[in-house]
Formats: sequence, structure tokens, C-alpha cells
Amino acid sequence: MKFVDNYFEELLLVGLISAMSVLIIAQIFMRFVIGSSITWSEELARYLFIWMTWIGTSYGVKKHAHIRVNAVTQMFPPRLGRYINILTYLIFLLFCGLVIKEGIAMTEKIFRFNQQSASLRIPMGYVYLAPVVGLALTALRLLQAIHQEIRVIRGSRAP
Amino acid sequence: MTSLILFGLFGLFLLLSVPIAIALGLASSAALLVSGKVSSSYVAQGLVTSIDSFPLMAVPFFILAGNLMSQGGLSERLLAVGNILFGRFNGGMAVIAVVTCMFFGAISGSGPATVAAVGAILLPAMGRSGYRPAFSSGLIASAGSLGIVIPPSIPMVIYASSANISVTALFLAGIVPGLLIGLFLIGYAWFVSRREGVGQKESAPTVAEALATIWDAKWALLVPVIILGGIYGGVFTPTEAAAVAVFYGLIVGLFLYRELDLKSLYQILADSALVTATIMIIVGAATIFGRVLTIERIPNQLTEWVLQIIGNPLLLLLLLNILLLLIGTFMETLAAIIILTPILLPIATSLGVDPIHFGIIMIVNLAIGMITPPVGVNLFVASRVASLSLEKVMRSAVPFLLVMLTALLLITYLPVISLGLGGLIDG
Repeated sequence: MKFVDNYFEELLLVGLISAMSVLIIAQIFMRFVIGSSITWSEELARYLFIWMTWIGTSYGVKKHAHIRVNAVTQMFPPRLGRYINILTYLIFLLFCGLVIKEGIAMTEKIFRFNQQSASLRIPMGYVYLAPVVGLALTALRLLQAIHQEIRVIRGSRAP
Repeated sequence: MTSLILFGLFGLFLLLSVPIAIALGLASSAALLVSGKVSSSYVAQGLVTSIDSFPLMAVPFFILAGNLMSQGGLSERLLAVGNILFGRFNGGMAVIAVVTCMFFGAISGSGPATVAAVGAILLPAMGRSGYRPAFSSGLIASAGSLGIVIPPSIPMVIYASSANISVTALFLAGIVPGLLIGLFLIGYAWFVSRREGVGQKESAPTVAEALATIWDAKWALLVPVIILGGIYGGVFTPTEAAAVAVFYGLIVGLFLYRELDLKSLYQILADSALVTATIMIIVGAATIFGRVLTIERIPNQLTEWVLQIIGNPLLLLLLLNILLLLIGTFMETLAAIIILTPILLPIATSLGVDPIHFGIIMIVNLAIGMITPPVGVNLFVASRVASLSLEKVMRSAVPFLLVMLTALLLITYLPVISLGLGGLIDG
């Protein structure tokens, strides 16, 4: 469980970015060296890229890597800062909930219409699922982060 | 009313230090909810469609290539070459710093990455040569911002995608302005070094030494040739060139310079994917924000309104610059580009400014924003790398800021600086 907690997104991301790179490099190699282009590599790489972005969003919460402007909140006393952190996590969580709700309805519709990608004929639902799954993972990471903040606040109150 | 919700919520979330992407996404969702003009699945859908783009895939590849190259021993070798060429002159070290930043900018495409990579090696070396730490970190913070002006440049990929113009043309337009700003910075740094008499003279290298150093750096020196040559030779698209740079950096780092191993490679891959994701969700959310603006016809109304009040194009261009500088100071570069392009580009084109030229103006402004207190990102990176207080770095960056502003004025009012090279090649 601890291994999953530490490495789940990281391993997925390393796999996705490696696969994307290999696909595009292979595409160039085929065109120049073998003289025939692969038609589907670009499409697949693009979909992996979308998945990488949304899995990475969850990893970004874990690593505290999301880009934010903290010039104002830095001036607050540390204790208030902790509460503000929790508030920002809750706002983030609201966004996740919103996208997950709308995303599930939309993905279901796309699966039902059996919309397919242009060259690989992948059901497009699998592509549109990326933000839903990614933000569901993100929501878990946010709950984890809120839990940590609460523990720090409780801990600092103890004598 | 809708625009009030859109900008009001966005501003409020930003103040609370909500991640920029989420602030953009939620404000857009709320505005759409209130206006009721499009279906509510618009946001969920936009989060996929706005990043489903092959040109945008240049972003992860350039980030990955830059990380592979800076950790694979290429940046040290570039510096060694600079040292051999300029080290024996008074003030030479300052010149090396700028030239290396420019060269590294031609590899990496990101400002903060350039500051971190070059600063980590050069700041200690400049300290040993007698430069004041504040001066050298201010210099590197400023020269590092050239990373986004000199192609390849991630912000240029983003601007091209949101202004619907060719990445290749925009890259080409960035070359001369980047060199111009670089020359200005070199001139100022050299002047200060001479006046203060800093920078010990190193003995002139023998020809054999110089050749050996350059030969050792050949793989690093070839990078811009491959990337830019490949793009302008019509051999690769910018995205493919970035993927080739990844492959090249991997081969050089693993097998030729042998400074990468599987463990560091894994870390580089994970870090690059993380940085890409944090950038791309901003791109996705900012694109939705921009579309909401368009749905609400805010850019059109703003253009009409602005043109009614200010008729003089020269004045308006100046005001646009001031606005871009202000926003560049407070806002994250890429989000600023995606939000501002649909708003400001119509105003600029109605003044007869070429979209490519306007892109360069915007990117130079945002580059300057990277070294403008209080929130210039390069200043943070430089102060961290130099372990110097932020205040000191900020104060020392002010003269460089003025130098870059001078270059900005030239670039704004002389379109030929940006467009000349493209015209030359087309003609």
C-alpha cells in the first residue's frame, strides 16, 4: 500500500512520457530510414499526452508542484496559512467534483455513440476518460493533503 | 455580470493561492453556469480538446530534452568553451554568463530552467573571479529570461497555438530580438565589470587547449544546429525536432559523455512529466477561460472601447506594453499568454501590427516580467541558486531591467527586428 502511495502516479508518468517519446522518434526514424510513415503513432502519442497531463495533475498535488501565486498568503501568520491551505484544497476538490460529474455523463454519451478515433479506431470515450480518472486520483490526493494539514494544526496546538 | 464573475472569482482564487489552473477552470465554470449560453459539459470536454494538439506536444519534449542535456554534461562543456574564448578578458566572465544563457536558451526553451542550469555552475565561478554575488545573480536572472526569447521556446509554442500562427515562423522571428537583448546585456555587464575592475585575467589558452575544449563540447555545440537547422531546413516540424532533441540528449548523455545512468534517467523522466502536467493543465484551463471570454464577446467590446478612447497607434502600443509588463510581473507566463492573446491580439492587429511581431512583443514583455520584482520567477531561482536574499537580487536586477526595457522599445517600434529574418528567407 505504501508502495502504491509513493509510486503509483510516478511509474505511470514515466511509462507514458517514455512511450510518447518512443512513438514520435520511431515515426521520424521510419520516415527517414525506412521511407514509410506510420500513420497512427502521432494519434496514439497525443492521447498518451492527454493521459499524462491528467495523471500528472494528481502527482502535482502529492509533490506540491502546482503553480500558484503565493505572494499574498506568504505574508499571513503560519497558523492562518495552514487554514488557507485547507481552503485551497477544498476549492480544488470542488473543481474535481464538478469535472468528474460532468465528465462521467459526457464520457458515457461518447461511448454510447461509439465515436472512434480517426486512424486507430479507438473508442474516443477512453480519451475523454482521462480528466475524470486523473481528477478522481487528484481528489484522493487532496483528501490526503487535507488530512496532513489537519494533523499539523492539531500537532502544533498540543503542548 | 458574467465578466464580473469570471474575473472576480479568478482574482479571488489567485489571492488565496489556489493553483492557477484551478482558479481559471472554476471561474470559467461559474461564468458559464450563470450565462447559460453553452452546455455544462463544456468544461470537461475542453479539458481534453484544448490539449489534444500535436504542436503542443513540443512542450514535454523540449522540457525533457532540456533536462537530459543539463544533467547529461552538456552545459558544463558549453561553459568550458565560453571560458576558453572569453576568460582572458577583463569582464570576460560576465560575457560568458550571458553567452552561455543564450546558448542554453537555444537548447531549453524555459527561463527558470536556464537560470538554474547556468547559475549553478557560473555563480560560484564568478564569485571566485571577484564579481559581487548580487551583480552576478542579477545578470544571470536577466540573461536567463532570454531562454524564452531565443528559439526553441515553450511560451512561443503556446502563443502560436492560441494565435493560430506557425510555430516555425515565430521561432524564426525570435532569433534577432534574442541576440539584440543578449548584446545589450553583454554591453552593460562588460561596462560594469570594466568600471569595477573585476574579473581576474586568466592566462590566454594555447590553441591546442582551445581546440581540445571545443572538440570536447562538439556534441553540445551541435544541438542548436540540429534543432533549428532541422526546423528551418523543412526536415522536421517543431514537435519532431523536440523529439529528436530528446533522442540526441539521451544518446549523448548515456553513451558519449556518460553522465546519465538509469536511475537519473528515471528521475528526469518523472520530473519532466510532472512539469509538463502542471503546465498543460494551465494551458487547458486557460484555453477554456479564453473561450468563455470569446463567447461573452469581451475581446470585441474591449477592442472597440479601447480604439475609441486612444486613437494614436504609437501611444496604444506603448500602453499595451505597460499592461503586458504589469501582467507579466504578477501572472504565470503561459497562463498570461493564453488569456491575453484573444483579448489583445485583435487590438494589435487593428493597429496594423503583424501577429508574429505582436507575439515577440508579448514574449519579450513576459521575459522581462520574469525579472521584475516582486514576483519575478527568475529572481526567485537566482536567489535560491546563489543563496542570497531575494531583496539583494531584486535590487541588483534593476539596471538590467532598464537595459531590457530599452531593447523592448526598439523591438516594439521597429518591426523589422522581428520580421526581417523571415522576410529575408521568404524573399
